Amino acid sequence: MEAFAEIKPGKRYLTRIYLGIMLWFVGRAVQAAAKVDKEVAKEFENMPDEYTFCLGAFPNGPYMIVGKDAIGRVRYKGGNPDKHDIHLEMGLKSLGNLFTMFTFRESTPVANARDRLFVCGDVPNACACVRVLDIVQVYLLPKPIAKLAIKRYPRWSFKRHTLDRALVLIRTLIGF
Amino acid sequence: MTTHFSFLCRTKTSAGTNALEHLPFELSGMGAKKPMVIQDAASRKLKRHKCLIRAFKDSGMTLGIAPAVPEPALSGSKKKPEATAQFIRDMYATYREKGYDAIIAVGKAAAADMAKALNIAVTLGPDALKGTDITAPLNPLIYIPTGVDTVTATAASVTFNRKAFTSPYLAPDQAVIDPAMLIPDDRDSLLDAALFCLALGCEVHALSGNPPARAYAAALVELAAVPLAQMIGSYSESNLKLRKKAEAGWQKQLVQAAVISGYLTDGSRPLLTLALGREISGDSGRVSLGMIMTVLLPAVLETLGRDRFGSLLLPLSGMERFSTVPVSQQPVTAVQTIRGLLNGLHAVTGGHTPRTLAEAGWQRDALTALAADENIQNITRDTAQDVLKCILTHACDGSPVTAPLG
Amino acid sequence: MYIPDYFEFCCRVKIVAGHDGLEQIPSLLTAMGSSAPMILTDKGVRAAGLVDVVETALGGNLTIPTIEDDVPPDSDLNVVHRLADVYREKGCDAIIAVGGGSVLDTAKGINILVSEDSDNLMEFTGAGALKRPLRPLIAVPTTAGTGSEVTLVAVIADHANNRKMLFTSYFLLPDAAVVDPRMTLTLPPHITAATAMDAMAHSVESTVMMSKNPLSDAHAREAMTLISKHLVSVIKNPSDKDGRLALATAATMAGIAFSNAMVGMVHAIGHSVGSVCHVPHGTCMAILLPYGLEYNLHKAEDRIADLLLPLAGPEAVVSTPADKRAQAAIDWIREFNKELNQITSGRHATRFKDLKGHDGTPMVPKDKLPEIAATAMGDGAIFYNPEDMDYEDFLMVTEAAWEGVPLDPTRIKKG
Repeated sequence: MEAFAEIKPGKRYLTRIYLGIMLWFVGRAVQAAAKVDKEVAKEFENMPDEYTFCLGAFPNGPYMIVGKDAIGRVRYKGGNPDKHDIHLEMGLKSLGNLFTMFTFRESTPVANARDRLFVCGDVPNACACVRVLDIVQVYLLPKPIAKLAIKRYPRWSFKRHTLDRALVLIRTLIGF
Repeated sequence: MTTHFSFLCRTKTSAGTNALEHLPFELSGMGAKKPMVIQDAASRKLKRHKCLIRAFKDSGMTLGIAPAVPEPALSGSKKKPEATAQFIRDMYATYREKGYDAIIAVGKAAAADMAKALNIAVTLGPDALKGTDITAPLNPLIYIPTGVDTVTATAASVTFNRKAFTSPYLAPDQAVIDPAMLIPDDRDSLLDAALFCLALGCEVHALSGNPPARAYAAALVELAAVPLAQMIGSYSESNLKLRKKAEAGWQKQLVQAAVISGYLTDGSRPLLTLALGREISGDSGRVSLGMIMTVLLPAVLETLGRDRFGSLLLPLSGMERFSTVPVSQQPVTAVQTIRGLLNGLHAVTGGHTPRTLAEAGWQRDALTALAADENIQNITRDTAQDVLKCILTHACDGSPVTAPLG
Repeated sequence: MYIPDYFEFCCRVKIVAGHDGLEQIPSLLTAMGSSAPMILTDKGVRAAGLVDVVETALGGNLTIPTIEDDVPPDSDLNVVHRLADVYREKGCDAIIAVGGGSVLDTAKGINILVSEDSDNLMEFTGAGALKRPLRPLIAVPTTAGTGSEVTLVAVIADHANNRKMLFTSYFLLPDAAVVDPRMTLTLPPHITAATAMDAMAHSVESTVMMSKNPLSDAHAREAMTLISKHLVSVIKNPSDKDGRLALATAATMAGIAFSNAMVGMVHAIGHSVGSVCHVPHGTCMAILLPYGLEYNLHKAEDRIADLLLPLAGPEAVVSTPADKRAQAAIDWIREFNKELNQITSGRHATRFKDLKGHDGTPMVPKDKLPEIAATAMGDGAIFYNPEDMDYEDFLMVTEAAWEGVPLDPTRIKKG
């Protein structure tokens, strides 16, 4: 008979690094889009000042924290939720689920439909955050990949698809 | 529907790709942090717990991997009570000593039944296994099947040391069906499971008059009938690669069916195909349980359902066929569909599977005697002797029941 | 049969239904080790005499320490705290919640406090804050519609801070739902129609949603079949006890279906019309249901086509070509609404324009439609809808439902 074994499963370091980079990128892109895109700006306007939300994997992250500061500017606030007062938490039920989503094998709506997502916080703002993330994904991703990530690819103006996208990408990279 | 009914299924079903990934979240929701993994021999041998360990990475939880449960199963007829009792004692001690707070059973019914018995011990104390009423939730219990089975692992009951326990709290809190955990079953096992689920689902759907049970049964019949028809249709497939691929697809669907079948065998309603099937297949030893149950099914439906089970044709045959059959012909068409599957199987196996109990080796006289047997009366919940006789004699020669009783 | 790549399904509530359903409560409580239940209800339910029916059915074998009926239509944090104190003072060990959503939400809140021995409900907000089973809770629904007796959510308003708190946990599911037709026997025809259409909307929407699965579909089909078969006859003959039982059962089945497969835009807009204009939920559901299907038609045609059988029966399936069945199912719902309108003497509305308040003024003034569309943007139900919706889409659908005209397919955006 085999012996009883007590095992502490380890960590997926490479996955965590990949997701950390992706979340960092998306977080900064949200900050950039809030400056460039009127629709994103409007969604944030409707949220109270210092409203902060995080997206990550249960139970130990990685996370991305985005929120408004005291004067209403949208800021990427890093990856440590313990340092912030979080008003809305959107989490994937596991690191693997987040990885599946960020490798575009499962869109956000499909992950949600498959019970892989959980939300703690007020629902209207959660809806707004999902709309913001959808817009940001359209900015960041080429159309064929963005179509895998969201429910309906939007019909945007030429300017929004080109100039605004370039601005969002530049601001994301330089963090301004 | 009937004028009164009750239904309870406490088990959450989660099925599909990456199902294991959700387990740490689910356990955390039940207040558990340190689950003990109980596996059957096949699962332990193939190290299925490694998939589980992978899924628990980054969860911060600790897993206890137990040795394989002693075989044969607790529910089997040839038990090894001393080995199972020792296993429970050892695991009880480890669970308590090392602070485990949940059980994950991996495998077939042997693992699930052992986990249920262990859960009684760790929640209520080892003396509870000598016999007690279980009236409150036990500690969290997750069941992960590795293949199909005709012993219902998800049923709300278990037998330990010849002592039967029945309580809704015995059923697993969650059945997690992840394709990554499956160990390929052979074609005969898949066929047997499909027939088992088909018979059970059809009987509940046709005879229970209980809407929630009918809903589970409809899903069960659909999950079983489609792979069954495909298995019969491609029985002679000689391309091994194609066959294995098809079998993997059927297994995925039939494991879901097998899990659901347990929800319908909670003991709250008599299931004649199951009760008689166990008795008959156990005695002949030659024909599988699922096969015998399906052979019994037409006679059970015709004897007890009379002409009121036409809606069964819908999960059996789908919307298109169901809609073309007049209401008055639906029951007879449903029975014909079931007989058609049996006859088709008989043909593709070159006559190796029975269509009647006679072909399964039973004599009419023996079946008449069986109907009067006291033990049968007990296990069929006092179903009238003439009803049993009617079912068994018609199943013997495969003749339709033209004049239902009562 | 549609089997998604991954699905979850769970309903841990014992369903006890029948003409003698209420009489089963003492044995249900005994099996859970309880003997002193608090009966929780609201003033409307009590005034309708339904609590008396429950009391009579429970007989003399059970001690009822207290009957509390001070539950507002919008469940309230202070009420929960006050009633939890009453529960403790009177030595209760279970709750029987007789009523609709707010009574049950209040009961769930009380049950959290008394089970966790806490005096601060805020500690348990959100998903997954509860880690262990609560004390026994039995739900007795009094309308055959909401399905709240099988949902794992509680919404409790904190009026002092002007917010609503959401509690989500499988431990919030009642231990049993007792479905007894005596609780719905006195519902007037137009309310019977509206509540049944609420259940119909739950079952229909659940089969179209992205989270549908074989088990939710099976529950939904059973519910739809029961409603389409019994609703008209019950309205024509309100004392039809078997029909009432079928409708009440269907509502619970539909509740199981939608709490697993979720609901979409019909509910998103319906909740919004309810909160902005105070239109009863069932009425919103009946009016909006065909629009929800029409809007999603290009994404879910097969799923909608499959509705024709449980709704209209096999003859309709045979006589309709496969590519016309989805539209036929939508048309059937519109016709069904019209029939309900006729047999309720016009009280079952088929469009928002026709709804009138007690004083005869329009309940949904046309100038409120933009506010309704904006509010719907914040409803979580939209997550599960097959097709996405923005403000323009919400407004377009709401306007069409106000006028009672079908959607213009050319205006539906298909990304």
